[in-house]
Amino acid sequence: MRLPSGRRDDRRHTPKVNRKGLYQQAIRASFVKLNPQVVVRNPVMFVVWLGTIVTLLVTLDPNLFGTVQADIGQQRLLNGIITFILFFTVLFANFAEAIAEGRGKAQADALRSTRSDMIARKLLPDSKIQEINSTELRRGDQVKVIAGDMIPADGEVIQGIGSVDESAITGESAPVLKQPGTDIASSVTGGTRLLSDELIVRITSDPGQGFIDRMISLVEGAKRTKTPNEIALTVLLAVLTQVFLIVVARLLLYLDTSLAFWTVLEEPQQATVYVLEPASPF
Amino acid sequence: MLQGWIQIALTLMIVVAITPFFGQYMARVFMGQRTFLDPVLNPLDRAIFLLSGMRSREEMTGWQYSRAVLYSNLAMLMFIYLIFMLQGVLPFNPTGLRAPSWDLALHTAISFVTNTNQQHYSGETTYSYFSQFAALGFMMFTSAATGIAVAIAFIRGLTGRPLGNFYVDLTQAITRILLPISMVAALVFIAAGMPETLSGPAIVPTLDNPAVSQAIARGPVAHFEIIKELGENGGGFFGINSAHPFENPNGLTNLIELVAILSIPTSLIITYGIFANNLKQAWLVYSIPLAILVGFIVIAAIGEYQGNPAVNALLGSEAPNLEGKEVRFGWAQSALFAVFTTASMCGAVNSLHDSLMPNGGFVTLSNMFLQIVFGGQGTGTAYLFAYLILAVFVTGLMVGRTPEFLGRKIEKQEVVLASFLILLVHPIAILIPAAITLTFPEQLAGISNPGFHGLSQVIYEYASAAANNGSGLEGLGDATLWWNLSTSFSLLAGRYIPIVALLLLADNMSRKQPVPATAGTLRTDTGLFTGVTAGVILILGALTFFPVLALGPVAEAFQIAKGIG
Repeated sequence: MRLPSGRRDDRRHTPKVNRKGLYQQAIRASFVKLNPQVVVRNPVMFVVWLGTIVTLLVTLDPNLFGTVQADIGQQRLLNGIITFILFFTVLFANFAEAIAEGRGKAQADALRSTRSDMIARKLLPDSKIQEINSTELRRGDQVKVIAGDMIPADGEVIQGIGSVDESAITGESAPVLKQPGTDIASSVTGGTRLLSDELIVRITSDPGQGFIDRMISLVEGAKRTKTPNEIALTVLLAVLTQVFLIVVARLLLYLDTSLAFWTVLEEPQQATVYVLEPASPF
Repeated sequence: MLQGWIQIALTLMIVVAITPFFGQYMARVFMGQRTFLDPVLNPLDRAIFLLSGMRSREEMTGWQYSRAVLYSNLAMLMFIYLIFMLQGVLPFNPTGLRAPSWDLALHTAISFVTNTNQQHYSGETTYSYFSQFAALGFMMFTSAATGIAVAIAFIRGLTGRPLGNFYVDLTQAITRILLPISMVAALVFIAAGMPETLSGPAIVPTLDNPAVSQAIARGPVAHFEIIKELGENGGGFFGINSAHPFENPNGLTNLIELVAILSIPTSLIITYGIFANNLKQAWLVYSIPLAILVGFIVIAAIGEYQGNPAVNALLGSEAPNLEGKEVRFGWAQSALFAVFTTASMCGAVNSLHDSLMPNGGFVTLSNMFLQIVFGGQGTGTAYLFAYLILAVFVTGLMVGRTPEFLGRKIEKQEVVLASFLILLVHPIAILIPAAITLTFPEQLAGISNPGFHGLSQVIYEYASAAANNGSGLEGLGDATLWWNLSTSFSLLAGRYIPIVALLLLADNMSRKQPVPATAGTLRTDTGLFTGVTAGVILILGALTFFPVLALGPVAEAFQIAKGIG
């Protein structure tokens, strides 16, 4: 059995991911993402963002939407605190999203680096070998892979037996035996490494459509489709947001009815009922 | 004081003690197993199916079941509306009552067809005996049976069975559950002193002056009374409901009424446990509403026992709050009744809820906002499991497990239906009409106490309609065109949108291929998960209404405690 050895960081199966500058970029991105056109894509945060603007306005002028009976300074302080909390919420959501995106991008870059500048030995029809860049391979080409080489693209073993290290993709550190004529054991993936012997591989994918390419586009998140659970969660949160809006929109009317009592009493300062901010539970 | 708490504890113990037996009985009925009433009822069922032309009793899909519910309810609605409008020419009308106004009749018809029984009238002066037993009494059975049928169909779907046939379920709910119990209990009620007569009001000389005579309203009360509680209906024969000595003559009838109010909603959870073959889960789920109920009873009872500080200051001592209460029931049984009746969406009252202390107002409103403290006939149990589905979804995502309930995956459609039906419909049906009413307080509201209590009055009326409870925080001038029509909207929205959503949800779940449980499955029958579910219920269900509670009963409690106003 082959046991991993050496420092844990050196035993990586996946290519090293460059995380330098991730947080600085994320902090910058969290402000860039305040752009309403970006925020509107997430309805829940958009509502919070609008709330921030409204509370900012009433911080600047507490009497903007009707006269406030409480002390102006106190009211301004309260509104300011609420504004800060809401703004921080939006900012933190952006920050978390930017971190996730940044990680994905770094991962994609690392994956891409395994693929670029790979030299493939293309077998010409006259069984000569021509060294070309792996990105120039087309479906149906045949390549020769020698122990220690990366397999240049997805393909099928048509000749030879060899063990392949597929840990970059599967995470499994034990090498896998590849040979022609079987369903699973004959297909090889671009970006994995041949550890022994030689294989002749017929390429089955055009550049940009291989397994690794799909993985890159997946982690980059550009064309990422949401998982069913994410969609369901979005629905739940949208419903909660609607409930929140209904509740808050009606609150002013209820306040009027309830406080009608206090104006009769001529003791308005006892009745500083602040607008409650029922927080979304998520 | 001790006596009051003992009354409360004993009643609760009886309610809990009968649930396993009753739940098991209902499960046997709806699983088609043999029950001890079969020899009598099988021929009756056959006769009913033969007479109504129900030869084919095939399984229904969610849509078919919903359509059956809607069409049959619509037909019943039109039938009883006709009876109301024609009561002047129909028999059994000793006091010669004429037809009520069209909007009152419509509101009454809608409120009885939705199992709500919100009454904007007094029975003895508005509806004839015939309207009472042929229209209202008829709806009390059928609307309650509709609720049971929906709950059973929901349970069947959740446990992976076909939903069943609505008409069969409706018939069996009446013949095997509601009717036998009602017959026995009605006889007990008659023995306990309730009238059951078709003759008109008794004309008797008054006690202080024999020369003056007074009319005492009576009628066929006893049979009406038991289905009022057992079916979570709550529409009293007389205007003051179970506080009337003919509707609730003594402690025994009060106890029977209390137990009847909660018996079916509690037992249905055990019925679920038998269907799902997981009684442990059923009892854990049962513990959630039970814990909330006990908490609410304590809050309400303490409020009533301590009494009104303003009154106590005048008395110089602490006395229970007896305003609006029957002295024969006292603070404990009145508080208990108020909590039970709002918890189970019954809506019968044996004290005036308007006179409860703010604690009581808080509890009764919260019951109707949550709708799952055992909840309405059938629908309460179904809501509880809809919350459970949401809790599975939320916790499943939190801990990274596939959200699945009873081996069936919870996906977008289920979340849409579950969240829509409990999180969105209820606030819309309560808060929006209440907001419109409060925008025009002079023209529409008819509030008798301005301020915090006035807000509670308006919200209570709509909450009672939307939750299909039917009790009222009286003191509100609610027999107007606006109140009749706007509460009708809340009644219909609060009843039929959730029922259709529940049936579709059950249909979806029953069609899913169950995945066998593995070590990676999120177990839903553990104490931890039950605790999380309770948290989800409180956060999702109660937070929505917290601002209203804060401005209504909570503010009122502070106001009374400070002695202002």
